[in-house]
Amino acid sequence: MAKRPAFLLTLLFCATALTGFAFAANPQQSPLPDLMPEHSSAITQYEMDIVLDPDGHTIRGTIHATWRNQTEAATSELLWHVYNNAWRDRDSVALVEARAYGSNGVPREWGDTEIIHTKVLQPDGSWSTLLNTWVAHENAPHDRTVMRTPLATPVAPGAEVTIEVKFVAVLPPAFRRMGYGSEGYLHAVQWYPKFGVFEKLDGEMVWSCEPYHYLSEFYADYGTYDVRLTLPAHYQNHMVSSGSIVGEPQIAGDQITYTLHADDIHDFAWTVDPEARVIHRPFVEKEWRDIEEEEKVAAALGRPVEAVRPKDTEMILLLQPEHGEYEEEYFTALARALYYFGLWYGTYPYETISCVDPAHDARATGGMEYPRLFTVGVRKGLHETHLSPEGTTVHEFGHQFWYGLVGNDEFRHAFLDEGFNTYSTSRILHKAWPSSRYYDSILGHEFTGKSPVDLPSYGADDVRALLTMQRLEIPDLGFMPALSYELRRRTSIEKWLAQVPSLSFFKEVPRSSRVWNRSVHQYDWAQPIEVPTFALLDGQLRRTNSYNRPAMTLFTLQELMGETRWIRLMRAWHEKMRFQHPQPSEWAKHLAEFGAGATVSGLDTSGVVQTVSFDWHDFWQQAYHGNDRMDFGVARLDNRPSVADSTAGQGDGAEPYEENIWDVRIAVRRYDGFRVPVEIRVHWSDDTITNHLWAGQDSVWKLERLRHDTKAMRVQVDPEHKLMLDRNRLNNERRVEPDHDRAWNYSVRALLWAQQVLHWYGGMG
Amino acid sequence: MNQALRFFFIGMGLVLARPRVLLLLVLVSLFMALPVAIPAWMSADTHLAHVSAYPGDAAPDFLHEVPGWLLDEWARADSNWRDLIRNGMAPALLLASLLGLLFAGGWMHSALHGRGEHGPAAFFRGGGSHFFPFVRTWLLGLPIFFGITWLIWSTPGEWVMGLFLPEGKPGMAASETTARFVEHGREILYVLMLLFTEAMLDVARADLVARDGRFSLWALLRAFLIMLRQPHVVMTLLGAGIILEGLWLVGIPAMVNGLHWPLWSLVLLIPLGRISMRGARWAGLALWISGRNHEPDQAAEKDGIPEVSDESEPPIMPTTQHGTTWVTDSVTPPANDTTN
Repeated sequence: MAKRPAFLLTLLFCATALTGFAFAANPQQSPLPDLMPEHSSAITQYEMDIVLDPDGHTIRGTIHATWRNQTEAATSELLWHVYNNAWRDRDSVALVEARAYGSNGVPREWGDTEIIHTKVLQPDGSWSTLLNTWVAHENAPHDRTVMRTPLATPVAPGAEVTIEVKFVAVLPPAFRRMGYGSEGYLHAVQWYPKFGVFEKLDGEMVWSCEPYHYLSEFYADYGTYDVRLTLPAHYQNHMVSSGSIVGEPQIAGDQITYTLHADDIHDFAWTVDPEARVIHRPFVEKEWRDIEEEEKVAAALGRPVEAVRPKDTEMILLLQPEHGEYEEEYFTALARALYYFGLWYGTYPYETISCVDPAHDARATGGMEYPRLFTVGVRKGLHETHLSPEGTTVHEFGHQFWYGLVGNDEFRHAFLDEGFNTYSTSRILHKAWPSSRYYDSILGHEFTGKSPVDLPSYGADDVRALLTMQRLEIPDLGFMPALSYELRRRTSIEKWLAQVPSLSFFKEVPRSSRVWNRSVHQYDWAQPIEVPTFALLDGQLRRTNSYNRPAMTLFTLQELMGETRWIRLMRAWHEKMRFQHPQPSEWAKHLAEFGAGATVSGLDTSGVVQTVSFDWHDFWQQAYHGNDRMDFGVARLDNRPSVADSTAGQGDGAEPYEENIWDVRIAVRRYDGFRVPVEIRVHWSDDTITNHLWAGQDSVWKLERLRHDTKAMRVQVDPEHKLMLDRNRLNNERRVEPDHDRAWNYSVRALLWAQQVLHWYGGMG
Repeated sequence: MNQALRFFFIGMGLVLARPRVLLLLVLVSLFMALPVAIPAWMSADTHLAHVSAYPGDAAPDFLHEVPGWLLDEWARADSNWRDLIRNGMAPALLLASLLGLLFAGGWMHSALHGRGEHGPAAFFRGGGSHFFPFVRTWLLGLPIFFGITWLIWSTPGEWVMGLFLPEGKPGMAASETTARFVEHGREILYVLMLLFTEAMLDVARADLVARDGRFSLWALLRAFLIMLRQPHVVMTLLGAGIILEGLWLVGIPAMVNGLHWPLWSLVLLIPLGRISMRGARWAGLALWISGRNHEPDQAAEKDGIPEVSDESEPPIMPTTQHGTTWVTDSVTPPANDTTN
């Protein structure tokens, strides 16, 4: 038996030393300076006098809007968002784009905003009338969601201008984020003319004021809002808003007037519903403490624990009476979100946060965020472990931080809020709740379970539908026109009876909220993240590029960078960017700054420790500007008996192989273009483990141990699942002795399932 | 004992007296499911046999522990096996329906005409002799299903929905509770109508066997009138089988779990029970229909039902003549149980 003691000693040392594979650099120990501003620079100021008509969806208002030019360039015009006009006819940008993406829905009734007049405040205190024009869009020349107001006198840097706008807004029945329900519910968003953002784009000072696009959301400047909101009296105590109520509401006749105020926000929304309950509950931070997490964050930031704890605030829930069963779920989710977001990124600064559970016939307004107010929505009959409404509550609240407090341009760079927020939501759900499950339902009532095989369903134009007696599909035969009749509709009851889930389903199949992000790996990532959101190919790509893909990128970065460094990086990013409009280039710069010095270590193929510095610039180039996918996999695991004497065995019948001596050959491949250092773990037959590091720059990594006295039993690439961007994790591992029992167990379950379905069909018809 | 239940249990005895047939049908159910199991096994063995669970090194067994993430990864890595199953299932489902007709004929025929023959050959011969009339009932059932589907889910159903919901749309109801109530009521009504039709088709087939008839349309019309007149008998007879089948579906897995038997034992036991119950339903139904037909059908004459039997043999009494024997001698099949 060959002995190579020096090599084995080295190997043993390295194996011991590197069992806990170091994928992170030393954390920086110096305290992170507090970069958080107290307030925004309040570029805008809105004073509004608003009256809601008794019809419940016509808003009459007068606004005195002041815009301060805090740039270094003068402007002789103002641009406004008038987004309610997206619903005035089919010619709006939103609906033209919707049709282009295959969505033909329109509101049941049109809504619009009519500008009665626009006046500018003169230095002498008088008002002079201005003439507005609508900004045409190349694809929708009749769009009226962007209004231009030319000024006789340019607004110089440092100066301000005050405009009076009188308008009437008729909101549509609930449609795409806004509108009213039949029983008095009204979700008033994008209901008033709002300034665009005057900023530098591509080196030029311009108004960033996109029309209401189908695939993108909103962007505006921070400011102060003083709103006198007059409502029909039956809305008393049934109103939530982006502001705090100042003083007592005034009741006059059949009207009630609320005075509302809010600082440092960039939009103002309000919701009323005479049928809903409005429940107030304090958020008391100490009731939700996670001591371990607090200490970790405090240590990473170099700050006392008291300094990182979030502040108390008031939670308000507008809840549909028939969703009373979800009251605790709503508040728990909101409190946990307030706690963890505040702990990780900086405290929530406002007095209130309002959560809206929309009316049933206005669910189109659910799942949307506005400053200090967000909407969720939930269905009855969900399984108790189903993280609804929790997941949406955490996510939409999270937008208070990513979109609200860090106000990125959602038209162009939605990943800066949706991606960061999806990442944050996944972390909180993973941390604070047990995993969700796979669910199925019968008559709207959910149960846990996962079918081993999906019950096949064949739609129209599929002749197989006839075989299953679902549809009669006969193509055009020339002498007879095409026929398409639905013979039987597969209802939830029939599905249940056919499959017998209690028998044939896997009972409890957990689904991690983190891993859910990987679902977009199945799609074509046709465009890189850098493509502006409104220019993305389709809705699926918007979900991919704005939500899951950047979230997976952040998870990958977090793992590569190490926890301490990452906590500092994310905290600093939020603090620096609070009340700002961050750009992707600033994020890239921030990443490089906080990632500088991070290294990873592991054994090379010779068994020598190597250390690799991260090139964050290269990483971000690939992740943001590039479109390569990431996929590492084990391509080879061979243990062949070692030849004792290469000349032996020629006709003498002697066995040429040496007993228990092996030639071990391992190969790992990078199947896609994304390059990043990756860990490789080898389990040997003597129960030792070696951790290797591959810089991931070449296409193949090989490990050869010739004449070795142990076999490699198992090889794992990225064994800790740090690389969330790795598109295929099934090829990340190979064993000498695969577990065939799994396939047997799964297929027996599938067979049992198929028997039930076939039995059902055997008695049908 | 309730007369309908008595017929069911007679049918059960008749089924259990044919173990070779039962075993063969269980094997058929196994064989029919292989187009699903084999692609699943091949793909699982390729993609799941090497992977550890995360976090840690615990290996999921896909029996008690099934990590969702691994299923998701598998679905993304290999969609071919699902396509294979999808393609294979459509003809398998059609074949299952046709075999169901064959087996129904087999059990009914055994109950009425083949009491002394317990082997598979007689079973399939009997089923084969009624197969094509049964196929015709199956084809006649399709427009009925279409009619029910149209009634519930198309213009008439939408009109009714409009009485309860704004524009007939659940999403426009102010109350989710109301919307769900209406939606689920509609679904339940639809399923009940389908089940009624299924039961009627079964009665029609039993009638065909009892009369040894070939004219499916008349049998269907007679079945419809029987369902109108004596739905409680049919439903009790069929319902007993369904309830016992449900108990079997609950009890056997519990027993298998309790005894720590392997999963594949269910693959044999579950079909055994389900096939037996279904066979008992069909056999019991045939016996009841036969007994009913043997009595002068005064009600039918009164209702002006046409006499059909130039193409049918005289109805066969479920007695010991014609070589048939009751499994339980003490049970005398009632000639007419309309008094129930």
